[in-house]
Amino acid sequence: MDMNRASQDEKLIDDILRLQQGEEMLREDLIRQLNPFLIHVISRVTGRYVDAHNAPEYSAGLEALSDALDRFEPDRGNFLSFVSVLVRNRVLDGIRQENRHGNTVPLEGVLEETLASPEDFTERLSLKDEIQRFSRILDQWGIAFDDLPESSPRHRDTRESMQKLSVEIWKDPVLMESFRNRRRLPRKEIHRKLGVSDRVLTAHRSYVTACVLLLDSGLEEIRQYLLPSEVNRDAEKSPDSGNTK
Amino acid sequence: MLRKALILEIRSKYALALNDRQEFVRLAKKPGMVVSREVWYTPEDLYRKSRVIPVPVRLAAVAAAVLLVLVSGLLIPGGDPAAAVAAVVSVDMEPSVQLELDRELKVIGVRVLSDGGELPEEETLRGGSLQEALDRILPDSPDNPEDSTVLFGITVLDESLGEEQLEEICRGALIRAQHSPVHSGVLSVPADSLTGAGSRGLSSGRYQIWLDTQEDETGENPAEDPEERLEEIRNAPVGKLVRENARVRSLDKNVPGPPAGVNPGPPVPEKPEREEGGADPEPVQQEQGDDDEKAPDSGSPGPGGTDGSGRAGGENSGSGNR
Repeated sequence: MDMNRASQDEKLIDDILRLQQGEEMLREDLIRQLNPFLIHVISRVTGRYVDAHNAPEYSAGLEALSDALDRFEPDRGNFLSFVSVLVRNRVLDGIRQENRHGNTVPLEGVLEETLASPEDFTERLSLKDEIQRFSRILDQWGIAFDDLPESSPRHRDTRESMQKLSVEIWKDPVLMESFRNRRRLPRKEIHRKLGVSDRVLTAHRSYVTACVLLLDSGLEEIRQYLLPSEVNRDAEKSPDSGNTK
Repeated sequence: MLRKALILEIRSKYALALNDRQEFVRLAKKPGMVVSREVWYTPEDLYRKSRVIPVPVRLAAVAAAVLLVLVSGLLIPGGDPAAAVAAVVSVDMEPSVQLELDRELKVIGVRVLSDGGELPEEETLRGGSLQEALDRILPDSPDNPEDSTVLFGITVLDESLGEEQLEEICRGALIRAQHSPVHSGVLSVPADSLTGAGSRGLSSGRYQIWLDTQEDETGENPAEDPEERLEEIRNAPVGKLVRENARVRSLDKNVPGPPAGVNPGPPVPEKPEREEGGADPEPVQQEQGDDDEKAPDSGSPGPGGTDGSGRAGGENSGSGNR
């Protein structure tokens, strides 16, 4: 996408200066705008992915970003470089403090996790359990997680079509019976009943199979991740056609 | 572009994950990855299988790269041969300078084309952005405020860049210059003019003006020697070139148009006539700029949420494809 980077930079600086002059309502908007950059810096500093839900380094980074918005002076250099320095220092300070106070907990002698709360730990265990069960279900259909990236539709429209197709297959008792008996998608019947081209179905076979299995499995948490909310709502309208647990 | 992904399985070199666009992806393995954790990632984090390239092919590729560097070093004097030139902006005033830019619009090459005036050290311009370079080049107080004129010649070599983008940067620099030039203009210079300009030691802007005069040889002096004309243009004050050439677009609304008798420029479209007995023709709609800036994607609202960016294109990289 062709962007007018120069005018975007100017607008950013203008907004920062206005914030410094008292327009506090701009802070949230600026932080939201700069969030991708912040996460990128944190990830580079720590050498890890930033946890989307529980990341003390992300909190430290947010504080540093907010500080940078208050302290930045345009004639002293580039804003993003300034932010990078502040965020880096704050995140590294935070890590050093954590190590000093021993806040990390070894798990199974191999993994280390920073525990935010017991509830967080329980939720994670529950989701982890569902993921493992989903993996076993896929295995029964000859599919591994490693097969799914190539099968995932890249285009949004195609992906939505395949998700909706999965719901249609799951709602159809005849198709589902054939699916369970043969341990694979009944392509000819799908093509005849639902009009989906064989070429498209072949290209995304594993992805569609995974979606159908998920709908049929009762694994509610992971289903929220794989199927968007409107597809889930559509699926919930029809009676359960049984599951493959 | 930032995305969120749920980690499903961890392998020796990568992890399988499900992202917030309901795509399965492979993420490069990093410390601290845990199954069921949701993490933020960027396209750079996607795992790409390294392909084994046979040694003879690798050697041939290295030899070709070295040859290319040597050849491009000869063709782009004063520039950094290792960086690809994505655009060239010439700035004609006193003196004239030509800036070579990479895709990030950073200055990678500087050529001073005439004497006179004061220029910042070439080294202080290299590595900085185009905006910074122009801010340094444009004079704070011109020697002759009455006749201070700047002509920008813009050549885009990389399709990912837009001429309008560069023009905006030039316009911004003019506004920021302490003493804005009285006249200013911009000219689009095709890529194939650059070599000719370079060989004649002219800025791309002046060279293009000369080429335009050659094409327009239907005037009163068709027999004028092209080389004489070239020298006239080389030595002409920038103000004269901007005022007298209709192809130069103004960057300043206060710049007067070309005087009468000089090339009037392309014909102005006629106002549509009202048909007898019919309704008024539709007024010509002025194109409005897109005021809505699209905010950078900061991730979807949560599990099951759809991505509103509408971007087509996935991120699967199992076979090394983007």
